[in-house]
This record gives sequence, structure tokens and C-alpha cells, in this order.
Amino acid sequence: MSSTSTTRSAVAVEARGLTVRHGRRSAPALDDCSFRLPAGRVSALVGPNGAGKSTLLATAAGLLRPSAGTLTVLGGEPAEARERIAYLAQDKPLHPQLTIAETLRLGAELNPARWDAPHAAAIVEQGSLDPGTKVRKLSGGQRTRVALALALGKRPDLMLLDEPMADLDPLARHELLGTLMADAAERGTTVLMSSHIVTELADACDHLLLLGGGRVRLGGGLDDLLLAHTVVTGRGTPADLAPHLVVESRPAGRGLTALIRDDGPVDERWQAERPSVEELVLAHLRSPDVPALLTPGTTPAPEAVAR
Amino acid sequence: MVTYRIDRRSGVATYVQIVQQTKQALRLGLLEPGDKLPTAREVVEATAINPNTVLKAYRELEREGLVEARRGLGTFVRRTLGTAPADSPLREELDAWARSARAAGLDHEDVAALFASVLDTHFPKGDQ
Amino acid sequence: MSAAAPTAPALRALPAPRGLVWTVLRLHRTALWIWTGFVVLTAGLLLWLYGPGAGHTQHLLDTYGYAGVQQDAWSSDMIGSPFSGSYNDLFQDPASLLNIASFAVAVFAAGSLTSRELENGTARLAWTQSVTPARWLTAKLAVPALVVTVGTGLLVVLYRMLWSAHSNLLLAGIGPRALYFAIGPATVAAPLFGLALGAVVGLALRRTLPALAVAGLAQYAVIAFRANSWPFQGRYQQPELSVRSRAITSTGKEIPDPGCYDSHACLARHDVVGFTRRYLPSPDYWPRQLLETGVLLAATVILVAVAFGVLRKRSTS
Repeated sequence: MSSTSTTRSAVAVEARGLTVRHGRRSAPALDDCSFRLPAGRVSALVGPNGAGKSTLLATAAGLLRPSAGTLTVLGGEPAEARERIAYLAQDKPLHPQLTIAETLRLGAELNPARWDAPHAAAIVEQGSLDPGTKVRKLSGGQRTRVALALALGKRPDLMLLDEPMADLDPLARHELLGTLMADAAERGTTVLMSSHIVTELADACDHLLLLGGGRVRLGGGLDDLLLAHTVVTGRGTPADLAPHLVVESRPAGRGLTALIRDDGPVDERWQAERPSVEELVLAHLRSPDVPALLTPGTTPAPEAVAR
Repeated sequence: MVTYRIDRRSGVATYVQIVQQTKQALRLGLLEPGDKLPTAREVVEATAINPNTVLKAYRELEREGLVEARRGLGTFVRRTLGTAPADSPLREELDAWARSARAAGLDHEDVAALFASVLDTHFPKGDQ
Repeated sequence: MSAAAPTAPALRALPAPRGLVWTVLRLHRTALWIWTGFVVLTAGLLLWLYGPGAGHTQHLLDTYGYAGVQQDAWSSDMIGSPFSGSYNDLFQDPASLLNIASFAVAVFAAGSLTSRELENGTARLAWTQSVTPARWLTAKLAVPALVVTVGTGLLVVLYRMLWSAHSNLLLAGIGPRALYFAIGPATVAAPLFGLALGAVVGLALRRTLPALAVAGLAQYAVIAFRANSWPFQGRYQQPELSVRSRAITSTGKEIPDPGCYDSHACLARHDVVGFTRRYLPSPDYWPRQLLETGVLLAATVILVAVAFGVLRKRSTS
């Protein structure tokens, strides 16, 4: 997408058997996850609450240590890539006693090699925020804007955003998502952002990672994943849909409506449609036993899987 | 400079919306050969859609020969669409026809339905 | 150095703080102001005791000898209280303030320096900039350590000066003894120990209120231990400070204090025109100070190592 992308590794994030536990005895928040996020993608990390989205992002940011398996970020350990990663935690922590200007100064002081002050200031300005305002006086959405300015001002190669849009009003959401996309268009920044609202990110993302119960359920380019599935309606039973994998089926009058993972062309007697992103995600979340699907570009290198 | 309006509920794929709106702008004369399309960065900043979506739409327009990408400069319109500028004889005929339809007592919806029916006869679906 | 540079060269010479140093100074600006205020006020009190504050009591000593010192110390209703206002009691106050300061440093290190940042997530904010957690903690400890060392160091120097000049105006007994052994390098080491102690507690507990409580209690215990236990300045086990007290006659001869109290007639009869009185240095001052300083600094080093160990568990590097 960008001419600069040749200089960086083609893989932004790669997990192999990644398991993360928050306590020694507690159930793993991430359980044997393997996937790969190609560089330059804007990936939606979706899944229900407690699926492990925040754990994955914090681990990729170098804040949590894997209990088992490995997570490689920008070609190395997450902690080594610290300078090139921006991380936005779900609760958007900022120092309440600082003003907005001082918060951005903090970004400059702590990222001397990369800081882009005009860029960060422009994001704050877009929200009509006075740089002299104390962070403690900001609303949730304004706080998110300042936190995003801090993240984008670093000009990262990889952005890890945990529920970045949750507190934002529709206008701010549109503006900030636009800013984020402009950054991705200009610099080929890889973005991995979580949300439990799928539709929120559907237009902005070209890649999807669906987590459920600490495991990767779906992973791949959004178009590829949608093309791999079909919503069929017609008279018959789920057994009639073989050899396709029925992800979910529901009765519809005398027949059924089902979301299937195609295996070859679908029989003419079924009315076939492409699913929406939301249908695809919901069907997989309602059917936790359906095997995971990772497209080839999202599967870790084969020699690594063999280990 | 054209601005794209993305309707998220239309059910039409986003890149198709960009293709359609570009063609519409060409038909209406809003874009003429030599004009520059907005850069992917400008489009995504305004619409908050994925940059690859814009690039996909521009590739589609390029494939149809409507635009061309000039390296390092941007994407430019190559040719226009539709041979019916606002003041052409065809428009005058249609104008006269609409006047007579009105005189015959047809209302807006009747005319639209009639027009659509004739359009379908002469330009069958899937022929575009 | 052309004339076109009007800015003060002194300001130019001091580089503006950058990076983590700027961050620590800015984030804990309020604490820095409070500390500066404490140092300035305490230094002011010490200088006043050194200069104008000593005049009245010095006059009583010169006139009546040790009896005058006693009269001055007992003139207040609240003798022995830090608020009595008598010179003898005011002399002790900076030492109490220094103890409170080391306690406050421990509480600060446990609270706003560490646990609050872990609790509200701002520590993680720093660790996801271009800064490793280890460098973050280094700055968090080094900047306050420098500020605390400079502040307490200045106060200790002033206190030693005051002791040399006016310890002869103190009531004999436990007070001067305790003070003599309390003020020295160990007085600087105590808040540094508090800083390391607070940091360990804050990093380990990660919750502000429990960290404040535990660090406060722990530093209080250390202060109490310092005051009462050999080999430090144990209140009952330390040696007497020898005091040399003489009356001076009009011929300049030094004679033992005739014990006249405030009787001018008696003083005239003994031809006393002045007095001299001073505490003799104790040969074990430096061994004790250095031993205590060594123990406190060694404990501080161990605690700092523990703090980095706890941080490693809390972060990934």
C-alpha cells in the first residue's frame, strides 16, 4: 500500500501456541493461539467480553509475558519493538494532573526519536480542545482523543488499540477513524484494534481476527473470509448441505437458513448469498465447536507450526 | 474535487459505491479528462474507510479505462462517460417528451415507471 | 560571548531537564514544591537559631552561666514540648522535622511515585513509549534521591553549624546527647532508605491506600529503631557528652561555676564577668554515624535491588 513498506518486515504480529494466564492457577485468557497478522493490514480484533482481546493486545505491547508459546512483533520480542509500537489501553490512562499540552510534551520526551509534534497537535486541535486544559477536566471521549494523539504522535509502525472508539460520539469516531486510516494509507501502519461491536469497524478494516474463549476462531482478510462462507436458504436439512461445513443453521419455514463454509460450488436448489461481517461473526460465536478458519496469509509459517 | 459519500446500510460493497459515484461524477460532467481524483489518503481521512477499499475502487476504474494512475502524481481521469451533455439534442427530445407526458395527465411516478420500463427493454440488466 | 546574548549565562549553563527526568519532575511537581518548602522553612529555622534566635539565651548564659540556660528553658509552661517556644525546645524541632520528612518520603515513594501509577495504568503508559520499565524506575528513584540528598544534606550541614555555635545553650541531659548522635550522614541516609522502602512496598502492593499504610508503618518502625537501638543512638545506652563549664573572672581567669544562680551580688562577690560552656566532642561520634549510615545505605541498596526484581515480575523487561 505504501512505498515505504518494503523496508519493514512483511509480518507485523505472529503468535505460535500463545498462551497467557493472569494468575498461575487461573484459566488461560489466551489458549494456544496461533495466527499471523501481515504488515500493512488494518485488522479488527473482535469477540465477546472476556474473549482475550485485551490480553492479546497487552501481550503484543510487551506488557504481559506469555505463559507458553511465543508472540513475535515486528520481527522481534514485543518489548524490543517498544519504540515502534503504540498501545492504547482500554481505560485510556493519562496523568490527570497534566494539561493536554504537557501530555503531548510527555510523548515528545519519552519518544525522542520518533515524535511528530505537529501531527499530535493537529489531532487535538481537530477536536477543538484547548491545549491548556487539564486532563482531569476532559470527558471520556476527549480523553480518548488525547490518548490517540499520544499514540499517533509516536508515528508507530504498529498500533494496538483496545476499544479505541468506545467513548467517542459519532462525529469524533468518524474523524479519528479517518485520521487513523489516513495514517495507514500514508505510512502503511499496521493497525490491530479491538471492539465488541463488529459493525463499528467493518468499513475501516480489511482483516479480521475473531477470538472466542481465548482461542482464534477466524482469521484472515475480510474479503477472503466472506468469500469462504455463504448464507443458504432452502428446503432441506443440514445433512443435505454436505460436503459444506455448516457453521450455523436455523429453521426457516419448512426449510432452513444456514451459514456454511463452502467446499466447492453450492447446489443450485439453495438460494445463496454472501454473509455480512456481522452474520459471519455472530454465527461463529454462537457455534463454539465449529473448527477455526485461518486464511493462508494469516497462518503462521509452517515450520513453526510443526514444532 | 469529488467527495465520496459512503452509505453503510445500502448493502452495496463500499468499493462499488466509490466506483459508482465516480462514474456518476463523470456523467454529470463534474469530472473531466485530466482532472485528478482525490488521493487514497484524502478519501479515507474523510470517509474513515480502509485505504485498500479506495485502491480497489481505483483499480477497477483503471481497468475500465476511465482513469489512469500516474506514478507519484495521483490518479487522473482519462475519458468521460455518457455522450449526453446537458444541452444535447437527445436531452431536448426527452424534454419535449416529458412535456407531452405531463399534458397527457401522467404524474411523476407514472413517468418514472414508464421510463424505467422502456429503459429495461432497450438496456437489459447485465448488459452494462 | 558577544554582547548580543542577553540571557543570563547561569541559566544557559543548566541544561533543561529532558526525557524521563523532565517527566518525573513534572509529574511530581507538587511533591517537589512541598519538599522545597520544607527545606526552605527548616533552613530558615536553623539559620534563625544560629543567628538572632540565640541572642537572648546567649545573654543569659553570659550573665548567669548554666543557671541562665536553665531559667530560659524553664520559662515556658510547656517545657519539653516542640511548641514551647523556648530556645532549648526550638533547637530540637528541626530534628523532629527531619524525622517526619523521612517518613513523608517513604509514604510519597509508596504512593504517588509507584503504586498510584500502577493502579491507574499510567505506568503502562510510560512503558509503551520508547522507555523500558527499568529505565523508568531508575529515573523514578534517582531524581527524588538526588533532591532528597541535596535537601537533607543542606539541613544537616546547617544543623552541625548550629551545634558547634550554640549547643552550649541546651539543657544538659538526654536532649543534647540524642541530638548530637542523630545529626550526621545517617540523617541523609534515612530518607533515602525510606525512598527505597516505599518504592518496594508500592511496586509490590500496587494499590495506593494499602501501600501508604504499610510504607508509613515500616518507616515509622525504622525511625523508632534508629532512636532507640545500639549500635545507633540508643537513648539509654549512649555515653554521656562531657560538658566543660567555667566562669570567667575580671582578670580573665577561668574558675568553676560558683553556683550563684541569678544573684548578681553573689556573682560580684566571686568577681565573675562571664561564662564559657561547651560540649566536648565524643570520640565515638564518627564510628557510630558511619556504622549507621553504612547499615542504612546497604539496606537501601538491597531494597532498590528488590524493587527492580518486583518490577521485572510486574512487566516483561
